Amino acid sequence: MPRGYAGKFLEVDLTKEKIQDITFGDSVLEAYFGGRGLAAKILWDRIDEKWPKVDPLGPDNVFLALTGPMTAVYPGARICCSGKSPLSNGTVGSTASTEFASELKMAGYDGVIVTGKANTPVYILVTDEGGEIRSASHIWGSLGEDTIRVLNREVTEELTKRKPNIGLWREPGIIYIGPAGENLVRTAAVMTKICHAAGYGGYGAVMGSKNLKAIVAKGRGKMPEVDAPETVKLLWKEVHRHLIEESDFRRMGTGYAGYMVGADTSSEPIRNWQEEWHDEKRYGGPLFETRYWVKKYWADFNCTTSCMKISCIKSGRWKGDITDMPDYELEAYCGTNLGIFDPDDNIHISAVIDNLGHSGINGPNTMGFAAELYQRGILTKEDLGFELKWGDAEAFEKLAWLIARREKIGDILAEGTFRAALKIGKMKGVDVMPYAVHVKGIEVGAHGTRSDADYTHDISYAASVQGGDHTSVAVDGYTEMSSAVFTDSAVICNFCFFWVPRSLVFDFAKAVTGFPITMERWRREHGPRIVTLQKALLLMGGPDVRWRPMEDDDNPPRFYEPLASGPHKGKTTDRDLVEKKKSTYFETLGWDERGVPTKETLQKLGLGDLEPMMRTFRR
Amino acid sequence: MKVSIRVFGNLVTILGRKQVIELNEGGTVGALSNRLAESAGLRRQGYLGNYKVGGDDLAILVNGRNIHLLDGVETVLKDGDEVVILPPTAGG
Repeated sequence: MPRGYAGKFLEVDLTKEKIQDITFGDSVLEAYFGGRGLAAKILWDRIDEKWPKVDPLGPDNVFLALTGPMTAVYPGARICCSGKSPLSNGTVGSTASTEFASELKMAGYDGVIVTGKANTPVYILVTDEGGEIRSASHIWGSLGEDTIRVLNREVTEELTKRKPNIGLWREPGIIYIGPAGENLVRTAAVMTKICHAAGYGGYGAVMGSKNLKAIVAKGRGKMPEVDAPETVKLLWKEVHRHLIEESDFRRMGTGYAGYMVGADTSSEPIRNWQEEWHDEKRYGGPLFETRYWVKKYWADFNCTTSCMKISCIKSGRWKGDITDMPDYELEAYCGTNLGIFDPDDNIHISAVIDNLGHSGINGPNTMGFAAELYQRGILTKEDLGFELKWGDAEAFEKLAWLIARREKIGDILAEGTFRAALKIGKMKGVDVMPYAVHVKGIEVGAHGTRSDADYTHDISYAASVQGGDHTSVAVDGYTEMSSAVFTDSAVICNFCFFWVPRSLVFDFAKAVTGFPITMERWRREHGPRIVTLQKALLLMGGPDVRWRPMEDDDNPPRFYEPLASGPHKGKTTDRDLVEKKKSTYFETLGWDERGVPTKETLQKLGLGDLEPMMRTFRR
Repeated sequence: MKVSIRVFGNLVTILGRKQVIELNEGGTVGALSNRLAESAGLRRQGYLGNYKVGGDDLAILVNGRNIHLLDGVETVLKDGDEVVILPPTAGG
């Protein structure tokens, strides 16, 4: 058994109510590592050529919550959620910072794999004794904060009853869904710790489709052994030092960016991306810091960077609301994208989104889409039940509830921006796809491509196997293999990774697992293997939609409109550059000119069993 | 010959965002980065800011291809090439 791994995974069949421990071979673990990579492999092995027919919201989908060998050993513990995505019909490695990951490992598990569907709402409890299925009927319908409160108390009391001599049980780790996930809102997130989310991919809806309200983990064992403990200790100190000395995120997280991404790089979504520049000086870190943050330098398990802040509104209309900083993405999406430039309102919407279990990016992307349709007179007060004007926080709160409950037009908006655009287009007899800002079904993160001043540009989203996911953009088919693809599979936090010299991180990986890991191998072999597998699953897609090679490897129409304002006014994404760089990207990864993996590449990466399906996509 | 440069992330403040550089025929990526460093008043040989040119932490792309897949800093540039300089950057 390689080191760094606890040694087993918990497999729960909710239909048969069967639980068992399973393992994977050393060679599989070495090739796919954990998290995003391992999830894609497990999904392909289990679903196989039935992939196009499997409904992501049906009982044949698999929900996975996986750690990686570096989780909780390297700073910044996270859990990676995956499955067939209800949005892209491919897979996403969707991560969230949470003690659930470290508790799982200390309970002796590297991950939880859930199949089938429960008859009634349940949650899964994982402890050193194994896994059990418990009733969640009493919390089905609960908002996030209530869910945590109840499960915390219930599980701690139960465990105290079973082992009264332990003393005080500290709170367990919990991942859960809110009403949005329960009602199969396609963009719903897997939530944890009130305001953390595994947002991209819509895996909250996958949990909801299985009647799975939460997974709770409490472990009292030791962390798995590492291959070279003295080396790991030394390297940990080095990593720690780099993060303390060089991290930009310790003071304000990404919360300074609400202003900067608008004013400086002109790439912030404003009113459904109709603009990307603003100069609202109070909308950034300093004001949030002085007026709202109650807890600073607070972190999750084994995290040095400690970028997390807690915002609490202490007076006024929204007194009592609690959310995280908000981070930049939610300052943008729960703020400027809805025409909201008031920090109070932004924090409130963010707290509402968290409690309902919406994804803070994907959910408000659809909300902004709806608001633009309202602006254009395509959606009316009758469709919504209220007026939806830009900047009206109360209206957007109502909209968040409407979608979470699938009421009125909320039922269609709950399908995610792309599918809602298809349905509304048919319903209203007008093409609204030009207003949908998504790539391959996944709504785009809050970094635009038109100004060319942010890190996102031309093929960042267009060529990515995870669509609009801004945390895992396409760069050159080489560099990103040792960043996002790696961190999502090792399952560690990017913000404990960015300032650390790459060689140090990969030495750490080797010292933990004993695998002959190098950054070069990840860039040429491991990363491409994982991304090529994801690309294949994405191509297979189905059952409701399948992306067209080349045509759908593109930016949303809005990203080709010239910017309306600001210092980069008139600029837009360069279509020629997109096409040119896409070709180069495909070539670098060994895919054909339409982005279909070639037979040689599949052989080389050990993915030969994908050839029969991939052949059907080639011209 | 003329080569166009695009810079992203925290090197923008040091190097500027976009420019067109004149290089002698046969000029390499190494020569280009020396020229950029010189114009920016940087002193550390072989580095742009804190990043080693040709090292693991700075992505330098020529027409969309990472120089590690070409000839590293010895990669020869042609007239009209586009060079992108990308420090490790983030989503938020």
